[in-house]
Amino acid sequence: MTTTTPPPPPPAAPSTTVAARAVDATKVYGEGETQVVALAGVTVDFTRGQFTAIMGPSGSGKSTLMHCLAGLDELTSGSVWIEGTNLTELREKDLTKLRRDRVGFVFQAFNLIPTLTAEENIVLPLSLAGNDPDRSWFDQVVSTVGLGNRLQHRPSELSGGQQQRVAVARALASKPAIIFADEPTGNLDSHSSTEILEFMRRAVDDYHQTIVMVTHDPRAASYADRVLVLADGQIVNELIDPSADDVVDFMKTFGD
Amino acid sequence: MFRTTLRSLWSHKRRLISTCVAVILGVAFMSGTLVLNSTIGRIFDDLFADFGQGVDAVVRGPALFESQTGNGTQRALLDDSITDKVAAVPGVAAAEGSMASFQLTVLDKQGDPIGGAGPPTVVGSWDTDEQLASYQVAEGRAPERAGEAIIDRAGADKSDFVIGDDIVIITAKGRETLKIVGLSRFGEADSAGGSFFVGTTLPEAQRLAGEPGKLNQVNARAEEGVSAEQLVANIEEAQVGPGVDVVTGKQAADEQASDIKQGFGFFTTILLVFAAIALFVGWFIISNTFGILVAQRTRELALLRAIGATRRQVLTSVLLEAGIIGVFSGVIGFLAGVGLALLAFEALKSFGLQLPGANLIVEPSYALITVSVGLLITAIAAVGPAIRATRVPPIAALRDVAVDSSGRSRLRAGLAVVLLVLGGILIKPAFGVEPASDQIKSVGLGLGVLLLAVLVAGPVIARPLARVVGAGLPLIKGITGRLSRENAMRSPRRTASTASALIIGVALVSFISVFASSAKASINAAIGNGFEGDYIIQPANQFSFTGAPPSLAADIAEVDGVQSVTALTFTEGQVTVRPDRQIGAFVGGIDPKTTPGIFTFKMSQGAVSDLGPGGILVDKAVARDEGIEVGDTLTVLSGSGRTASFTVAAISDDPAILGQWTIDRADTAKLTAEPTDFLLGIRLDPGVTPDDIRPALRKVVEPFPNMKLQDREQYTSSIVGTITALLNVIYALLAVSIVIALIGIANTLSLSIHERTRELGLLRAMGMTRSQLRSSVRWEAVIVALMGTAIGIGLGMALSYTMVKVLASQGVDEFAVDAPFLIFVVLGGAALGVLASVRPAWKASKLNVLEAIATE
Ligand SMILES: Nc1ncnc2c1ncn2[C@@H]1O[C@H](COP(=O)(O)OP(=O)(O)OP(=O)(O)O)[C@@H](O)[C@H]1O
Ligand SMILES: [Mg+2]
Repeated sequence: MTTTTPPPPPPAAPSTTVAARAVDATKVYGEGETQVVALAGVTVDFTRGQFTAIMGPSGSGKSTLMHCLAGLDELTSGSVWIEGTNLTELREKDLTKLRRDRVGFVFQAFNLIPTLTAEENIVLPLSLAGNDPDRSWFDQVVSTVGLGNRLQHRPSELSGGQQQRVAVARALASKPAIIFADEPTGNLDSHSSTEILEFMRRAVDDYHQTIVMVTHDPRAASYADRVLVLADGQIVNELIDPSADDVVDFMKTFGD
Repeated sequence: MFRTTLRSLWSHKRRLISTCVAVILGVAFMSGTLVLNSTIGRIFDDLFADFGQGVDAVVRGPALFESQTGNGTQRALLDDSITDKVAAVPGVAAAEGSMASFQLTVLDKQGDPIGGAGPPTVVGSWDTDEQLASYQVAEGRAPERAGEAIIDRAGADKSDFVIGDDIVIITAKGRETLKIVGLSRFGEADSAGGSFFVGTTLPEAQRLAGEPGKLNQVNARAEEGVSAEQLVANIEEAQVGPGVDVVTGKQAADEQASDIKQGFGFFTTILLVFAAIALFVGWFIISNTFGILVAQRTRELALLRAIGATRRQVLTSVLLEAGIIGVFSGVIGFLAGVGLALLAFEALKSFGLQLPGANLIVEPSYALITVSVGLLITAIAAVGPAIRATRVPPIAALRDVAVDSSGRSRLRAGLAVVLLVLGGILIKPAFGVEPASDQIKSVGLGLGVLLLAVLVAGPVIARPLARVVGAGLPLIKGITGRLSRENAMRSPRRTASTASALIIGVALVSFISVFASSAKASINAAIGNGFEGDYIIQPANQFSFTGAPPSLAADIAEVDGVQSVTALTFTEGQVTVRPDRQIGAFVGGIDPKTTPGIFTFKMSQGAVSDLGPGGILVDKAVARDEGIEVGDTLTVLSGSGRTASFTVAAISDDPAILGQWTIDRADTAKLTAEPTDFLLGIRLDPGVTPDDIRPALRKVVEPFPNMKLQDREQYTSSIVGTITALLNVIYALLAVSIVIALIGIANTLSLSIHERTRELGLLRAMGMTRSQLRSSVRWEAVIVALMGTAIGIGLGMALSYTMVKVLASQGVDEFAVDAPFLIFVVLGGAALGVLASVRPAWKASKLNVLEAIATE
């Protein structure tokens, strides 16, 4: 990366085990009367090889936090880091390259380019960088996600579940530092969601990927190693290795 | 519903601007032409009204035939004696005969010919009756004896002449020098419409014109209390001469004005044709824009339908939208057209068209016509998309946007094949042996049908073609190129109609280019094979009717080093093939004895040497069309009213140099009082180089600045140069339609990009850089532009090949392709694509990623 700024002193300095970090991240939309505080000073670390779920009521700032962590949006104050890079210091072009090379994405829907085949969609970030995919890693990802015979199909010829699988495979294909998934199972039936969640779990367990997932579904959250709860732009609680029932019980206290 | 329409228009206003521009350009072209035409018409009306002001009746010779060169009706000359007869008619207060010649060359003080393709130079008699005269003495005095002249003040100012100067006129006899004794004015103006007038006494004017004792017309003025009509009736009754034609002064002026206006009418027609082309191209753009807008609004329309809007209401809403755009663009286009006319008018003025008190004539009907055309074009273009809009089922509100399936339409493919076959049948005669001239029309129609076939087939072939054209892109541009190609193939109908706009422009440009280069090649071949001499002498001004006096050929022959000289004359006339069949004709005159070694004319039957006094050569194509055979007798009537009969001696086949009718040069005297030579071919003695002899030849030609001396090379390039100059004008006019096509590409692109907002957002989120995104949009545009250009060029070549085939008998028999120009067109097409993509690409790259991926 182009940034050469030495990491600031602790606690802000990310250790080698931290994939992404937010320090006092604040995001304010609008001004005066219409002002909305989406993030009110969030400080959080995402450890390498961990699967984190973010929960919280609608409007609590989950998506905003992810977008800022992924370099899609700018903070009003505070800083965000991907591995050793301070995103707040990057120019637009470098942010784009960072997204391409070191961040993976899965959105709730519309994840794929309709004119490209499944395979082309999977290797898209690599193609954009002008790199050839690592063939053995690609095969591994594809077989894990179970798309073998669908690779030459276009998105319109795939089911919603298959499309999300392609999206997950794409997020994995470039071996990013961290993968962000914003309600990846929000549009899927329970069977397809289970498949997707299991893939993500395997990616973390078997391939040591780092995943941050926003979800409203306690069952989905139970796949994670830890669950962060956001409310009014702040982290209000954290559960480690919860079961689905733990999450449900816990969320009841928020009346979500 | 009206409110919904307005709101929808408003929300798309940015994108509609370019649609409006497409309509505006075409409409402006049209209204500009109309305004310019009526303004020029009015000017000439006024001008000739001034000419005829004091004249109540005009006596003219009997009509001979209509001129082919826009000079109106050719009439026989009258005898001097008629003037006295007219003066004696009851009611005539005064009568005066006049003679004017438009065909003499007047030299300015530097010895260069005055005028050119612009307003004419007139050498004519000075009217002595002040009330009959159109010109008045401004300074000095009127000419009173031979050798004296009065010239108009504007001309004097421009050429620095003052009273007392000598002025040289070149006539068929040679150089004539007159002394300027006065300056004239034309009413309030210093010149009549920018023409240059030289007035002399009547006998002098007759002598200069080579028609002593002859008159063009006799003007008469009525006594107090006698009306013009009464005067005409009186003169008619008096039977002053055989077959004479008597009209009122006003009518004569109107006729003259309308002759000139007809010349401009041709010009107007051409401009209107280009306006039509521009509108036709605009039609594609409009229909495309509406198609896309309707497609984008499928959900909205379906929702309207779902909540109970009838089909009719949906149709009305879309058409209303088109109507508003049409009227808006029509009004703007009309105003822009008036502006254009103003510009063109100033340009004409700067070419020396002096116009007394001229204001633009803008008739209210023009506004009505232009706005209606704008409205009609937009409405017709929007009907298709509007009907498609009504077919949107209410359920579509719940589905994704419909797919474009026109690429697989059997009906479309079938229709294209039918048109192709029909066009093929129509142009078939072109490829037969010796197509007759009257088949040109059918072939032209066939070419039009073929063009239509290609346009109809567009959506069917767009996808495979885009695949081929963009084949190399993924290799050189990677995923960006892959995306460009896929996007170009994505919606065949859209791609096709975007490309169609360009196809039309490019097809016409390449058609004209290939046709012109074929014509050039044919001329070069004709000269290459037909002209073996070393030097040519021809009029400096292509549009001139003045040649060189026959003495020039004789003088050249005297020059040391000249082996032989041959001269060609020509006269305008009318050929009577049968008693019931007359054809307007240019009759050439050659010297069969001196042509060998200088000109070799291609013959179809017989030899050039068969031509002698009393004989005539007829071109093969005319001979076949008219059923003329060797031995037939033809009668030729010339513009000066002389008649002579000729026997067909042989059939020629050399339309490029000989033309259709050729007689012996010695016989030209039977047709015109003062034959002049229009082309002199010179052959040098062996061993004499053209450069050796140039100074000597120059010296002989020098007294006739209206003629220019050219060696072989200059001669060929001068012919080709004329064609090139004409081409450039046509290209400039076609450029308008190409600009419209460019707007179309930009328009479609930005609409498509708007449609793909979410996709682009995704690409950016995935790490596509701004410059990658711009490049992807740019290459998409290049593919579409190249498709349009490629089809256009292919079509243009096919059209011109056919045209060359059918015109083989007219002298265009070589098919030549100006390859560098066509390569330039292809590169230009790609460059236009890039240019068209600049704004859409820029807009796409500035897209806010978060907003794009949040768009529902
Ligand atoms: N572009 C924007 N302009 C103004 N306010 C915004 C904008 N984007 C988000 N907000 C506000 O910021 C707050 C946080 O939004 P965010 O999208 O992060 O919520 P979320 O937790 O993802 O909600 P959900 O679960 O519904 O997706 C909300 O109050 C939202 O209205
Ligand atoms: Mg959200």
